[in-house]
Amino acid sequence: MTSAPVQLEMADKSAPLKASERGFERPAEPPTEDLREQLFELEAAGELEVQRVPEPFIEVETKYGRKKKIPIENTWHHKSCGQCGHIPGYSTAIFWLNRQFGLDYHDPRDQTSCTAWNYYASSTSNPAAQAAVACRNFAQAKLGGYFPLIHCGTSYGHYKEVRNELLHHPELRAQVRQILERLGLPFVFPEEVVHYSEWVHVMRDDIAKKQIYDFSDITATVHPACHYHKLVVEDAIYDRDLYDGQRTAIVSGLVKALGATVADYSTWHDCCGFGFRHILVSRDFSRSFATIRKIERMKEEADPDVTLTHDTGCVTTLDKSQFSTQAHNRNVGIPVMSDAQFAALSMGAHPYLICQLHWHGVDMKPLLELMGIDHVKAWKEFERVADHLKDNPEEYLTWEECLDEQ
Amino acid sequence: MFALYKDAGYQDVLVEEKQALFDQVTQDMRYPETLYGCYECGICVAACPSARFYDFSPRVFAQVMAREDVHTFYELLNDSVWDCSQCFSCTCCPRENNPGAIITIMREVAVNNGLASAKEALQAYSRIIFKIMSTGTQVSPDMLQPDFFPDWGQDVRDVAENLDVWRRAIPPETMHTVELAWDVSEKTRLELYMIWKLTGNLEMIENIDEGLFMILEEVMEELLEEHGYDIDDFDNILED
Amino acid sequence: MALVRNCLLPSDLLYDVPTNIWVRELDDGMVEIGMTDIAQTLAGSIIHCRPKKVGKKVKKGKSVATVESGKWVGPVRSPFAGNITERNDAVVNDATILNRSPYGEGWIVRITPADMEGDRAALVGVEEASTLYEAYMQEKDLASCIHCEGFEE
Repeated sequence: MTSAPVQLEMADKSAPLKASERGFERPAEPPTEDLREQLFELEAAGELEVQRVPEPFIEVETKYGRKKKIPIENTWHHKSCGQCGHIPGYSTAIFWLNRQFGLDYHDPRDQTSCTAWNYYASSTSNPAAQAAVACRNFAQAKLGGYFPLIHCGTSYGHYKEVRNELLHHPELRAQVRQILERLGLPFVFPEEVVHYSEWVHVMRDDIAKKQIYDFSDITATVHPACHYHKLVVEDAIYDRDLYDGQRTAIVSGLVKALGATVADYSTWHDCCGFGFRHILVSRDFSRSFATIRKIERMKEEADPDVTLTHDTGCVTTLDKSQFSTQAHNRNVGIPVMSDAQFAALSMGAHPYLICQLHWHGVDMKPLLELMGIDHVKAWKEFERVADHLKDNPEEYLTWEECLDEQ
Repeated sequence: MFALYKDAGYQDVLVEEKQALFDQVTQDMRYPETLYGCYECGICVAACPSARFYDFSPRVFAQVMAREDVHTFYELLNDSVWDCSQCFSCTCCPRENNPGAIITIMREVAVNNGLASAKEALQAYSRIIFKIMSTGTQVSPDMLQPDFFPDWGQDVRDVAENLDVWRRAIPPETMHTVELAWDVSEKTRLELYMIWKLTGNLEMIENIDEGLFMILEEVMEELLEEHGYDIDDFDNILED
Repeated sequence: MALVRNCLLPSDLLYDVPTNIWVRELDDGMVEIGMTDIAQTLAGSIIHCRPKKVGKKVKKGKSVATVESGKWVGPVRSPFAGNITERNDAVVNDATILNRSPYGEGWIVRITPADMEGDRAALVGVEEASTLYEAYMQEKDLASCIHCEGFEE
């Protein structure tokens, strides 16, 4: 004998929802422990000092809904090797933005690289060395009275990894303490690990208020750095109003604030193909991956005027991979820059003296024209500066001179 | 003994040697947080960039470690461990495994043991190690040379030809450099050298490139001496 | 002058093939050393050469200079124990000399050897060097030497 059929409550089949339309609810409690609390516990036990985020700061939500403090000023700019070495307009744009808002910041000489590019490329290091390098930098920031703002996505990801290792391994903390004592430095760790693109994100409306060029005709694709949102996931900013909180909000938030269009593409979540070691000594992989999985997909599906990212390695890989692949008739040719340079350009930063676009591979001129920037005039100004410097080998371009040129 | 790959290479290497290297990985401080058990869903492979272009699979690494298959482990250690992009896309794992982190540890074991395959993988990379360990920045403007980056395009040629002037045409003072990414103070370099010595990092380099170790040691010794320090006073504290 | 796979090896010099160094014996008992054509090819365009200071004591096999190219950095190893009596400042100012004129203008240091006869015995003349280099280049999979514009014999 069969029983009566069970009545199931079915959703209305006549209007199936797409994934992007479905509601997303965070669980009431985050599934993780609050690492900041664990840091404070160590501080209470006298193990280390936690450097607090200074005021003024803005609070944002991270992946599981916790609040994160993003400092606005009094920042110690933890620079990126690849930016300063090969994409100088990237670092310069970050400093320029701070200067435009009259914010007090420090550009240190007592900073080393995080050394994580080498760590992920070659593993010719170990956790104690990596943690000591990190904490040495943090100690200098604290002694200088500024809060660390990290320029590189890998530095950011790596320092999150170091934080986890320090929190979980007392023997590592003991080793780091011993090393720092030898160096005569205090054992300090920042309350938050903050990436500069998080600063750009919280400043996006202020940046838009100072915008002088109309970006409404510009379409951008966004590439998020793996080490920002995959390597230790919780610290990344997630915003209800962007992707309904399902993808990290940085860079996309800025693009929208500046009135440009964010265009989606199917391989948004893919790595760029940097590879750390590969980009230096096995580039066939990097440029193949970047071209086939990222640039060509963006071109086919979104045809953007620019692709924006917020990490050194990503700018490098996406930009530099397009030259040789063009020789193979691949569908490439999207200018690549950082969110910082994009923001700076919108506010009137000089494309060559500040954004240093002549260090980039893909031709920027069509994009600059679309932005309404007179690149011919700008390049003549740069050449004038370069000629003067050529004739005066002891001189350097200064911030003051840049302001005169604008 | 069990092996995932029936035709795993290096049949002539003693199993004790393979086991010893395997144990170095599993006894590493970081290892317990890299592997919680793998049910072979392959989500990591779907997300992995290296899996698309190399004969490489993060799933196999997780499986090999979980099953304690030292034979396939040894083959991976000598070959595809260097294919990994270290992007950590594999942390999409529903079990919260981290194959990328397993690989970081495996590479360190390969370097520490001076494996020929590690030396070969890092052969073209020696200047980068020299740069990061001796100056405190990973890359420098003067690395942008057409013969090192011929595939990067005309901009590299332009930079190389105009390097001195173009570096002076950047506003931030700390970036008026050619041999380093930014100006690192001497005191900072000194502190960095002390860290390398105290963590045995300099000695690690000797395992893979003796010439590089020689010049690194000289550079460090010289700066330490200039400031009244003796390089031999900085013993590896990790060996305590 | 010998030629091995387009690599020049002057006949009047002595060689240490494994370390890629050539040696010229000078009249005053000193020796002059530099990098071979093979070495400059392997290094690529050389960016920096930093010889050690004059007066520095060196051990056999130890570094007398550091050479950096875009992709490579390594020591110039002295085949002799002794003292550095002169260093070539020209290569410090323009390291590309090492690519252009490895045997002439591109000498790196001059050394007063501590044990001339003893250390000299380990070096080989051009004929044996040619044979050794043929094998060396085969092993390293190096097809031929590359000479930049303005290369001097």
